[in-house]
Amino acid sequence: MKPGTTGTTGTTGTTGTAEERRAPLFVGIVLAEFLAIAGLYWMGVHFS
Amino acid sequence: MSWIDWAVVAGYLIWVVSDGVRMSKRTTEMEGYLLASRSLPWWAVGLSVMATQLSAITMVSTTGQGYAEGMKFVQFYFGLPIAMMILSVTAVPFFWRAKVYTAYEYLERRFDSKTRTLTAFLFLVSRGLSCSVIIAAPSVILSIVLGWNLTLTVLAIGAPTVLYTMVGGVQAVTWTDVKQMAVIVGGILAAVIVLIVGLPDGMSVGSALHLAGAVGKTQALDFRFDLTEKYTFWSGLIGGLFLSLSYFGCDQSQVQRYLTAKSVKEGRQSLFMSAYVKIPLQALILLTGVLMFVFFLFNKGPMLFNGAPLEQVRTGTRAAEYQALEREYDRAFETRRQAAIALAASDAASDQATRQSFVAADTSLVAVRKRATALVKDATKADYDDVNYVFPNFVIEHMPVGLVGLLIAAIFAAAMSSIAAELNSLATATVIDVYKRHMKPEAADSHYLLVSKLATAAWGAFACVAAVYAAQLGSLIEVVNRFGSYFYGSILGVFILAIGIKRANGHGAFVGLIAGMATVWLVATYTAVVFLWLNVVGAVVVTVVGVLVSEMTRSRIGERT
Repeated sequence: MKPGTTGTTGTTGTTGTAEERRAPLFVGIVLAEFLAIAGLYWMGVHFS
Repeated sequence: MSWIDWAVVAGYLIWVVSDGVRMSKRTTEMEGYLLASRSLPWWAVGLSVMATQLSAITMVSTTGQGYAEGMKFVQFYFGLPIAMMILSVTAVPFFWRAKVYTAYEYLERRFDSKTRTLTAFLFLVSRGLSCSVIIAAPSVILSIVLGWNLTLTVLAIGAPTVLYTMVGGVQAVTWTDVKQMAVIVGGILAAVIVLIVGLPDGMSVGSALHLAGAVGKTQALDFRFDLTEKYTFWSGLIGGLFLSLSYFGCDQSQVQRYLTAKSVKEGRQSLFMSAYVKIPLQALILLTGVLMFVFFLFNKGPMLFNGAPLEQVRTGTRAAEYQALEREYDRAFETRRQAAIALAASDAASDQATRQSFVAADTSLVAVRKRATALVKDATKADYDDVNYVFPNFVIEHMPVGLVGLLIAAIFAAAMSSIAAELNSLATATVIDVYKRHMKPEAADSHYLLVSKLATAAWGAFACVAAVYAAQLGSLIEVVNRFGSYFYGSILGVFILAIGIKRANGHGAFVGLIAGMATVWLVATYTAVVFLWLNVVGAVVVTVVGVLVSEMTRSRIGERT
């Protein structure tokens, strides 16, 4: 490993603000994708 | 095109170029020129990410796909939102905090110089060629549909883009991307409105979609697990996930977008915009194609939309055969039109006989078109592409004055936004990963700024010249696109090793990358597996081989010490 690196955490470790370290909420994205796929499924069934 | 449409296109070009050139005031040092001094808001970066991905090929070809095949291409994007979630907690914080200019620069810090140089080289070759294809593909279509000279069309798209990208750097690229996305979305919405207004009197959008649905064009989902089928739910979800991880996480043309964000949080949010918007936007573009299908049920379009080689066929030895097909097409169109009117007037759910006669009429018409396509290919002894000409033909022949100009500007915008981001990232990788790393490591910031501008101009000139040649070799475009898919997944494998596997080392990554590309080539050459799955194959092989070689070289080093 090259000097200055810290394994799997990049070149500056896991430093950063607390806000940066916190994983974002993915509920909205998962829900949006589910609704998009459900909508496309409905479209296929309803307009067949 | 009327003078009003010309004025709209000219106005768009002047607006975008002048706005881009104004950005030169904010780029007096290299970090400002290449990374906007890491100062841009998430919404601008997010729109730039989307504009970079949405090229003119996507816009013209996706509407054509919607017209010919229906909605199923949307499945291609099902893996994208998941990829964005993964990248928001991996690539974005890693690259941003590492304060790198390129993704490949990070690989040297993590592994070694040879891994960085190989991945940067692969990026420069593939993106350099794809940049010329991104210019060539819409240039060919616009030159045929509008009757423009091909070289002038290439220059009309390429020259303004090179100018503002070279002068304004990433600031110009991002802020023009924002405006270009507005033009693109505005153009698509205008086309949808014109198509809805153009439906026959009394026909609702629902009835129109029932007509399209009768021939399977509203069926978006295919749950079969078939590795040889191009677009299925599974190939989109799994293969699309790997492709999106590679494209947004390892390709400098996208990584550079979120490196310009103000913070890690803003970089993440820029990717979330695509996660939310991409599937609905692609569905809207495909729906435009489906509505075009309904439009051409009632309004007679040409038998073949790409008119370029038809004059040669009409005056050649197969002219009588072609004329007979045209007469057959006229009859098939009228039969289908009557069947469509009957089906729209009936209760579609219960009137199976009317529905079956419409489906049969459509099948007959499609068969005539297929025979005509085969005849053209045979008579001209050349490849013949028709689907990509449906949307431009609709725009020119059926959109009202003013909106024709807006749609042509939208196709220009889609092309220019992708070209600008690619030129900017090609210049960055050239300067950071090649020039500064291997040729001149210690020089003043102003020197690197000047070289960055020269590199942008050089890549732009190369892309325009290559585009003129690529345009004359139609099948080369497909070769270049396929060439890219050979190592996309493999490069992703290298980054999985770098970010996700602590024990991986430079030897493992380098040997894994070679093994991954070789395996993908073998699978692509000797099996019928479609390209989306090649990304999975490449990433998995690189990761497995990389881990094994890392362990072997680690134990050898251990034995020696």
